[in-house]
Amino acid sequence: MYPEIRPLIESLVARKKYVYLCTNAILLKERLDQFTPSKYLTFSIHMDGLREDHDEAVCRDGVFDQAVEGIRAALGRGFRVTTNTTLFDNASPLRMRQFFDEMMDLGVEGMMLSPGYSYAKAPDQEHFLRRARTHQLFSEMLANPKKGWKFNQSPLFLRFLMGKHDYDCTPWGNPTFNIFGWQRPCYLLQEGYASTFAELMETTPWEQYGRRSGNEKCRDCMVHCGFEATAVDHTFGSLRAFGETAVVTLTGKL
Amino acid sequence: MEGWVPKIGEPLTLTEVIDLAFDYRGNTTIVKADGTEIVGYVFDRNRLVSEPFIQYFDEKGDGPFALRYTEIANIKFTGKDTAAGNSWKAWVERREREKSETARAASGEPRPDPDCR
Repeated sequence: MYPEIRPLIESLVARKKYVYLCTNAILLKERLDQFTPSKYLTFSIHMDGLREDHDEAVCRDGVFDQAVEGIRAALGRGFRVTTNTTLFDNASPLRMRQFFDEMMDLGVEGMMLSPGYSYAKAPDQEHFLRRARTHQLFSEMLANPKKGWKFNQSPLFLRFLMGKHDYDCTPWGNPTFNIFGWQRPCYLLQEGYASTFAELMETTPWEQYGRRSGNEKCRDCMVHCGFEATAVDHTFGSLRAFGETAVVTLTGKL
Repeated sequence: MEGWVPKIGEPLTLTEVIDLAFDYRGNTTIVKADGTEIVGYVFDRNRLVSEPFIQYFDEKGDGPFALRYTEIANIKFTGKDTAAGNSWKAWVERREREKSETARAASGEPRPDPDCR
């Protein structure tokens, strides 16, 4: 665990910044004392499905149960908790629906979904989701969503994953900053670093990224870090899209 | 790639070796043009500028430091590759092997001799 996590979170919360602290929750239960519940702090727990699916996805048996324990402990102490889930080709719509039920029964505030990153030259091709398969999976998984399911993300992004919108990537939409600097061009493609955000924005050849650029690394990507930003921009960029978002939010029908 | 000492020349260029070092998940030894060596983690390279350079942290964790391509003679892959054997595929294969060994032990079947042909 990052040794400075406590002062980092405290400083951000003191500035009234909303923090989604992503974690696999393996150490969450025993480290909860280091944190103070706040409306600005949410634990975003990495959960890739039901027990068997999650443990396989993270290459370690028992992690699902540890994460569930961590979620219960955090909720019990008044923390805000959400989940984040990455889906690959072996995801079953039916099992994912059971997973949504289980997470909502646990009491999490919302769930976030994304297909995993797909790259035409990646070695593990059989498990990557391609666009058509992504549309099929999300359409089946999110058909007639239960009223109790709460998704902590843009409804238009979910509809994009279901094939109801055609978006391109906004690679700077969720910038990644780490000890090396500002990662370019995005969270998924690691093609170097800029020392400042301004340098990232001004010196990255953005026209070389995104599906329509023809970059083969971007061809099949539908990951939330680039496309959710596009969906949000669309939501607030047109009355029609804003109306669509409002209808989906009010009716719960994706 | 762990332990590899590239031979720069035809067909492998220094630029290609630097790209490989950038992707490598472990420390490398940067051999400078003057013959001195630096052990560190190469986390960035930029060849789109007029004077291409790499950035690295040294083995004590100090940095980042920058070094121009023209100052580099070679990069040796001397550190442990922390990504090796940690892929999802490797884990599934390991788990399947353990499962079949457990099942075999439970059934009393002897472990197959790999030298037996």
